[in-house]
Amino acid sequence: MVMAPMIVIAAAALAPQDALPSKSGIAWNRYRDYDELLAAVRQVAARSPNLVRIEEIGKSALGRPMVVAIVNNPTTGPEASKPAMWIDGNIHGNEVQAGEVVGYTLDALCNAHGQVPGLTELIDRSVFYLCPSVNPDGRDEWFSKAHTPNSNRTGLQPFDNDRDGELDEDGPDDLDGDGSIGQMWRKDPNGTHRRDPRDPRRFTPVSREPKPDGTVERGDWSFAGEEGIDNDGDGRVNEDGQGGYDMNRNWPSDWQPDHVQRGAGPWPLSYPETRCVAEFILARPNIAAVQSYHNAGGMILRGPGVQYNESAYPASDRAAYDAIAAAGAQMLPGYRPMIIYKDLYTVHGGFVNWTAEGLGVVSFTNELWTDDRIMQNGSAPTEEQRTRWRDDVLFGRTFKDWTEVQHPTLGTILVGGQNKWSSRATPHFMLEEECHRNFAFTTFHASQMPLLRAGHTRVRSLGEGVWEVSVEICNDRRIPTRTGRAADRGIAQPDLLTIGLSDPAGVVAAGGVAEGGVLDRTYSPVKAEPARLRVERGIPGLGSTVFRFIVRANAGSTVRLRYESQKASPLDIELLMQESGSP
Amino acid sequence: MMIAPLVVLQLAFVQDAAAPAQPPAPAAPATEPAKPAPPPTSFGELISLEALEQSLRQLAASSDGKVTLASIGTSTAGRTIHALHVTSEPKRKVPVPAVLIVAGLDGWHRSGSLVAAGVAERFALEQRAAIDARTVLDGLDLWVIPIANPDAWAVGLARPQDHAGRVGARIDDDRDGRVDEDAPRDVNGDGVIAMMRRLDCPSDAPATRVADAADPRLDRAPDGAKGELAAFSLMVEGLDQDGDGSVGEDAIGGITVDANFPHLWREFAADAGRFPLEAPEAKALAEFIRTHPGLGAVYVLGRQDSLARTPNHERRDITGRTPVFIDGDDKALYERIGKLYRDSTGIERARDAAHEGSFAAWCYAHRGLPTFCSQVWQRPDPSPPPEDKKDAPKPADEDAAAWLAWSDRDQGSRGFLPWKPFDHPSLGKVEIGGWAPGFRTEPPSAMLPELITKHAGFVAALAGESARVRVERVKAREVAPGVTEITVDLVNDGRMPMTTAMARTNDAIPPLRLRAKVGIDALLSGDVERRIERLDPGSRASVSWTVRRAPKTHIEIGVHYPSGRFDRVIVDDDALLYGGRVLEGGWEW
Repeated sequence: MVMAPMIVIAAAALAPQDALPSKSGIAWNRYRDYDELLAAVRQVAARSPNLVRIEEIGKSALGRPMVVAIVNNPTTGPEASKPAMWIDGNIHGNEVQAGEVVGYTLDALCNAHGQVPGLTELIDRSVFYLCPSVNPDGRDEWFSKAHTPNSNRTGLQPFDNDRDGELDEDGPDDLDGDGSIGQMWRKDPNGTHRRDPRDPRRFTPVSREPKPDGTVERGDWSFAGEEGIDNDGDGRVNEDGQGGYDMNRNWPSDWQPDHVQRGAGPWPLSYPETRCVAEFILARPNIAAVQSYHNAGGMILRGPGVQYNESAYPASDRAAYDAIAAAGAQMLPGYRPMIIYKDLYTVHGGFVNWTAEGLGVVSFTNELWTDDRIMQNGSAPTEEQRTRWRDDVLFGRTFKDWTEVQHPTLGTILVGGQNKWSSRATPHFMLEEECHRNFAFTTFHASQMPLLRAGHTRVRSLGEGVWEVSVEICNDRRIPTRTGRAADRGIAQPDLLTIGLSDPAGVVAAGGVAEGGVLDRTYSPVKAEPARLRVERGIPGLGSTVFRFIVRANAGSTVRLRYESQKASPLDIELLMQESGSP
Repeated sequence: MMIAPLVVLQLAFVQDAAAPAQPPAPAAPATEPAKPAPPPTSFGELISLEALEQSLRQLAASSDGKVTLASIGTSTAGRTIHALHVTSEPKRKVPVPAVLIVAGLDGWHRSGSLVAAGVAERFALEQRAAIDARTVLDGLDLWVIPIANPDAWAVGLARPQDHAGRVGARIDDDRDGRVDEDAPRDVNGDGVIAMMRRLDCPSDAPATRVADAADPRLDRAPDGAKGELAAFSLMVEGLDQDGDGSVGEDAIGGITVDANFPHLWREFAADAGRFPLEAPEAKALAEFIRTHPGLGAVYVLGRQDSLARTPNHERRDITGRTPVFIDGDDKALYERIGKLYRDSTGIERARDAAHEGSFAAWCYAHRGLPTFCSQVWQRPDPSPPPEDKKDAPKPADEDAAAWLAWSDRDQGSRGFLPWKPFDHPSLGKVEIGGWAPGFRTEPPSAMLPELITKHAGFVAALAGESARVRVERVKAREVAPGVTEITVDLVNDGRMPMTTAMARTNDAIPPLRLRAKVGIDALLSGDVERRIERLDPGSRASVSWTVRRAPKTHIEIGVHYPSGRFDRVIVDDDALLYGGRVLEGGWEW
């Protein structure tokens, strides 16, 4: 109570449009490999030791530390007593800016605490678990080795992609030594393409339609695949690169084997990275919100990953999902709320499918960056517009000129093209904005975790020392204390409303009132344990539920009630046994 | 060599877990198993876990190197999970088909463990009990994991009635914040947790059953069309220990291991685990399968059956891409092996059992292994009824009635506890009684020797059915000077397909690969590596290349079989006259 005015004064001293003073001194306007990212996260933690704790939750397949930063203000209660939000990124090794967004979020929370009243209040009533990279090996690999924008999604546990008994024996090769995996083009008298005379960087397709004289135009170049050679001499190129699985298909809910879902792994949580994250989350039933960052496309995605799981998102949950996603669409230019199976593609065993459908937690995946952002009006750019952007704004740094290379089986070829930075990574000068807007989105999501309050209460004497006690429990946020999914499938513990009396046998009967928020209706008595009401469906988002107890107690005595939910801070209520309240 | 006594069998007859170990009995001729005195109950006959493990160690020690005892993992409580490897050539260089036997997945089917261990013993000690073990072992490696779930085994012996084999962290089944607080319980103090018939049923939990007039110990649904009213409801014997209005709703224990595998995993069932393979016992089995790619078949002794009755081949899971039981293209295989089983064991009846999340279901659906399940025994036919009972009314559940008849006429009525009235503290008037726990799942010990013989016979027959894929011949022809056409003919002259249809769907088992070791310049036709995905019993396949080969040089082709074996084919000048040579290569894994 004493702190609040001081926070307001401190905040008032800052110009609202200026950046908050950075406690860590870190600028999030450039990319960091895994070691650098981890160092930055540790630095943030070191500068806010009263707020952040770093926990190593496991090791990656190659032995890198898996790290979670835990943001909790211990003076406002232990972690387990507060609703929590899990935020992660970069489960696909090449989707790198996800790591920066998570790191920025951690830094921004620390900078805001004590400076921005709304965020201070949110931090003080919540816990944040931030995992900057779920795939440290993949991240490190992307930065340190030659790759494309699309590789490597995988972790680095060796895998036999081509079922030849050998592991990772024939991946792409950086033939021109430019640090990126580009394209190969071979000279071909029956080619499918020609070099564009206006811009020889481009290969344009020749028409397949016959000309009036019946002949078909021939090009002089044909695409020869991704940069690489036949390392294992099996006649194929690049057919078994590093790893080759997808850790975002390795989670328990709707996990399906490889013939249904490519890359799923031999069984759910088969990789050390997914296993340790799952163990961490399962040990924290207070997690009430989940955000996972990927790239690219400007999407705010929710499940289901497959059509047959539509029923996993009942109307009461969709209300929260829709409201949060709609707020995100306002905060994130170019981003659109989407449903994974319907608007993207089918996913079995995805991470947010597990957290949403298996754990009953409101969960989103954001696909960071969309090149709609390069257009003044936010429309989708043409290839020509994209090229101008790369030339004029990125100064051609994402293109590697075509270079002649002697290929062992293809002969003389051209190697080059757009490099790994060209399409999916947010341009560095827009990175901080990307981070900040997504940070704002996740804090909005976090702010919608359940917040309980006692609403109307009423105590009526029924005579002979018997009292009717009614209490309305309100949830002032959009996420229910138990999602419809959790209630439907019996996930984790239901909420509990307990009543304490000096004489435990004094609770005669109890139950809920069917119509929310109305005190003057009859209630439905429970058949057992009236002093310990089990609230299977919890308190709805932006709603309330009324409960009633019939108790024996002395006039003037105090009755204590406690409402507990795994997804909300507990609520304690004391009522005097004397006529009170309104109908 | 002195043949060691029947260690496992001997221990199987110990009447009491607490009884001291008995000196080994003289070996009995395997064709005439010793007949022990019939024990009074089925449970007293089972030996302790420690005694069984000791017998496994003795078996390994006395087997002249044919049996090795290895650990495949550690149980939740820290017990070793043992695997026996039985082979006639411990240092075998070229792999032969391997059969894996798994038993003891729960605490209810411990006889399966004794049978599995007994089969291993039969093979290891070359006893000619319905099988020619020596001949079989020449072409077979046998892996036996007799006690896949040792914690359940150990607890099951001490408290068989309330612990059906659940392991690991205790689970709050009813999600009320209290763990294992209301397990089924022996309410009437007769030493058994049985069933209760609730006679005073409230309106919100009404009666559902009536006694069957054919035998009032049994029950059936009332016939509403005849105005018949239900008289009682059935529930497990217990109290409402936590006062929540439910009886026996939060049993002791954690994960059911045999429900913790990925195929059709019941995600929201309390005992199926928080995620597949969470139980270390399940994970150990899965890792064993993953790291032993040469397995030709898996035989599971326990809850399920896929041999007395052929599994359904039409149902698919929710994706439509994985069968619930078996693929239609594997139906013939299961029918044939089922017939072999019925002929070998005489077992033709089976009980329905949960299949979701089971080890066997996963082995087949996700790993593509031919996986066969046996419930170890079947209900014996009861002796004929007395003359005055022959016109008794027909019972609603004929199988249950037959079990009762067998209990009454042949087992001293030990199988069923008569219903006895009891004043229950929260349910009012009840009757307590029902099936003696384990009566219908564990055979009497007296049956074990014969069962071991029969199952050993089946395993031998199963081994004889293995796929036998090999290079039949190698043809070489000079097409032009310096140009050779090579043709490798392959044949499967075994009785199983090289891979199941399921394996060809899920790609869990690699194809047969032939790889020509030639430079890209020397290869004129064909790909360097050729693959054969399917080779059914009695079928052939041919693969050809045309290569440049100078005189006095040779071309080598590696033949990599799905089992992990590989051979080398050599084509040189002599091959033009006599065909190419096939050299046994050995193991790849």
